[in-house]
Amino acid sequence: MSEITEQNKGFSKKDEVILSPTQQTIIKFKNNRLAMVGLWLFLIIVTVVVVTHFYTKFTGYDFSATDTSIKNLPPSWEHPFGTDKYGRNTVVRVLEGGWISLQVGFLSTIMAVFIGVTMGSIAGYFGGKIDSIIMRIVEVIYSFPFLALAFTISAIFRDKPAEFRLFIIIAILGLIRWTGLARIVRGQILSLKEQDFILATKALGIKKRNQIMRHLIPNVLAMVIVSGTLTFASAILGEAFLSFLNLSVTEPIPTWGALLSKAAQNSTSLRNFWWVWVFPGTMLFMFIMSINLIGEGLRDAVDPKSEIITKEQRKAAKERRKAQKKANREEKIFSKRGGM
Amino acid sequence: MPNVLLETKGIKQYFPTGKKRNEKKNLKKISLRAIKIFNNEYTHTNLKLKEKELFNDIYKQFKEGKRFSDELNTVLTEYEALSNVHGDKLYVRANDGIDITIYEGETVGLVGESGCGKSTLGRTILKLDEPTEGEIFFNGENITNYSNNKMMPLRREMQIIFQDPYSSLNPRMTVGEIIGEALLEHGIFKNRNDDFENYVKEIMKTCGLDDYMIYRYPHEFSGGQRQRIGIARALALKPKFIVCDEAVSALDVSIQSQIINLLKDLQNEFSLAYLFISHDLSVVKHISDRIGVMYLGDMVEFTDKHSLYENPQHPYTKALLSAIPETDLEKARSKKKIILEGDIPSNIIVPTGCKFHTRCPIAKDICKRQVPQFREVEKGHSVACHFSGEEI
Repeated sequence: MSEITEQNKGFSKKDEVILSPTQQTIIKFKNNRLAMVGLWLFLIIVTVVVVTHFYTKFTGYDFSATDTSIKNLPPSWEHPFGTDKYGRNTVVRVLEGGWISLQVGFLSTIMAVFIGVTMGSIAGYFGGKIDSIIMRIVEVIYSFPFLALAFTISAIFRDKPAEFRLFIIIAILGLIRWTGLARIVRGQILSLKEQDFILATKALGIKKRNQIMRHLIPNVLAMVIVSGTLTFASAILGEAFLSFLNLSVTEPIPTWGALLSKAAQNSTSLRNFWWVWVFPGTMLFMFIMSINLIGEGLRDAVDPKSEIITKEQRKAAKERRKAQKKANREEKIFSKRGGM
Repeated sequence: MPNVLLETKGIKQYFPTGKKRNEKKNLKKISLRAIKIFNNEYTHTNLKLKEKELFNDIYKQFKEGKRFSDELNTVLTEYEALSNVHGDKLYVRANDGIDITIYEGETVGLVGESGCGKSTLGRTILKLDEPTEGEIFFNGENITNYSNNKMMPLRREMQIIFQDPYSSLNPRMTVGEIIGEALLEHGIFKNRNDDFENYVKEIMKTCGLDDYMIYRYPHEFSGGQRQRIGIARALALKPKFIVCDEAVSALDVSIQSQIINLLKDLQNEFSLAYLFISHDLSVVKHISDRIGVMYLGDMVEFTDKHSLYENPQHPYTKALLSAIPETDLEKARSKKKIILEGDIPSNIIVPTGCKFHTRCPIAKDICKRQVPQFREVEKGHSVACHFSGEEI
């Protein structure tokens, strides 16, 4: 598909390449270099994390097994990411740590986006009393102190199993993070609602549900995607933050946040045993960066008005620059000779 | 005689402003004037009374039926009239009782200056806004109180083309989706099969769009092409009646003529009726069979196009027609220009009596007091003016 460029998309009947909206989106995304880097990074991390999770599950890898004879070893071929102070292999723990982050990120983002878009579009579309009720609810939730809530709920469910506590964390993150999105969606829909094409749908006799689903939501989708990726990233960071405070799932199940918190517990390990915090930190950083890159790319791809620069065009531009440089250099040499 | 397709009876469209009429300042001014007159003409019985109390006393006596001198009486009547409207809820009177009849297959033009309620009338007729008062008949049915569900089958019969081709198309939908959406919604086609696509392509061809453009987005088109998409969308349901809400005023002249000729061709093909809203008199003259002239929410003149352009009756119509620029120099010299003074009054606090009396060159006393009736002066020629046909 990548050979279809802006030029040969053409304006005559013969040249017109018929592309469906989905194909156009895919082409645009594929031609966005940064977004593709983000996508590959994301896919690699997810694959490795998922494979590790199921590998450890089926082989019955024991996360609580300790071996004091090999504690605090620096990275080596045997232990690529080194070992921690109990002599546990960090590489498996780092990779397994992502599993919790992934779960938290995906589930709470889906929850937040779903609630946020629904509430925001209902508030924006119907307006009046419904709008003010929903916006008051949003304001109440917005003013909840997240940390205090997380503390309280964690304390209540202290002695429940780890899986249950995980879902509690997901629910807290999902139920608190939707408010910003709801506000954005509401604002957008309020302005879109006044446009003529919404009046046209009314004149055409389109049902209200379809007006919202087919006309309003696609127009706010770009915003939702960007906001959704940010929510995803902040949910993972939030989980890491809660683990750091020992409010998330507990030992021996590892998470990136918990691994960082272990390292930060005393300054000796922070200073001397760098491998304990560098690897989980890098993973967390790369994962969140990849999500943000994908979000940015998706926003451009979904927007039908955005321009694309294809690989061929980039190559041609590079060639042109090279030729220009060469010509300049030759001219310089020529002028020097002429001067002599 | 063709059948009546659409009829409205006394449509009123008021939009609440959320404010109340405040005439305190004016009332105070009048009361001071009244006291001045009173002091000149009568002697005080009680000198200690304050101005306010004195006036209240006079006004009370006036209300009970006591008559003072003529001058004081007129001032007090004025005060009474104003105090009656003080505190009333204020509305934007977009339409103030409009009767219009549209026959099958004809074009009715609607002209008037900006903000006189042309577009609002067009939207109210289609029930995009609920009318405050009045009745709308479509095909003999009274559709005024129809619910949204009940309107659904009627939506196929009446459509609208918008003024702005840029905001009237959803930027996230392809042309095929925009045109075909309503077809699926109304169950004319069950799903997006080949028949559906061919039908949409056919409609696009009739509107002068090439069928290979079906997967393009609106932003890939020029203004004229977008307007054609808007027309194709309205036509896809095969309606009988289309409101063209300034459908050509956003386009340049060459494209205007293309679109107007297209509309005329389509009218011949499908026997459509148009309500053609515009402020461009030459365009309206070209396309319409009958023309209505609106001023400040009122229909002031309604007649067929020849008698409107050759024998205008209402002073506003005359002024409007005299503003058409003439290309012929001879004619331009001999043409008498009527220049109206002042601005269009507020449509929230409207002038009393005939709304046009504030700017009318032939206004008399009766115009201030009495609302002129919209009556038929000749056959098929209705005017709302006390002195219709008088020379200016």
